[in-house]
Amino acid sequence: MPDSGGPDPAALAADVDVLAADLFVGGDSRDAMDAVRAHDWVTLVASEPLLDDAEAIVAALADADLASDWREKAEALATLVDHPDGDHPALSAAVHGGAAHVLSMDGQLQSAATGAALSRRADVSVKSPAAFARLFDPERLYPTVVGGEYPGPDRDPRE
Amino acid sequence: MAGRTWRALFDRARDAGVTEEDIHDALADQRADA
Repeated sequence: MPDSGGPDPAALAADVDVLAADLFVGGDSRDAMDAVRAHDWVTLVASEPLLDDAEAIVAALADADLASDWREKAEALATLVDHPDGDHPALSAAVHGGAAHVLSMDGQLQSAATGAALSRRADVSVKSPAAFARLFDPERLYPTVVGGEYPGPDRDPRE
Repeated sequence: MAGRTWRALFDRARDAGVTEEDIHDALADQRADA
């Protein structure tokens, strides 16, 4: 990661709704998360409280075994950061993890007011998974974040 | 765990038949219980 002092444009946090939709539904949430799974230079930041909430939702919607197995894979994929108790987990994980993006389907998180409040703390942008999947351009980002010509995906996003 | 892939997790999750609406309802319940 280049030490530019700003948030990492190749790092993101995903809210619980996006993590669950990635697992259960697919669509835009899976497309967005595939950007992480397919590139080892794209970072998913998360926190224990965020994964706790997501694991609980998966268990409530399916079963504890699937929730536990999902947690194991998510922990292996993510970079875990600490944040103060009581913070919104996805927002705070992004801020404390130096990520430029928060993916959420929560309209309130995407609102202009929240964006303004967030921008006072860090340059974090809340986006829908659809917007992120549309805007994320690894070929354009790679020369800035890693350097050189984009070689294409470096991981199988289904492994 | 070796052999446990995202593909396998997605296949198992699909069998649960969960929709985005189900997810949002479960999140609302989680927040109400918090």
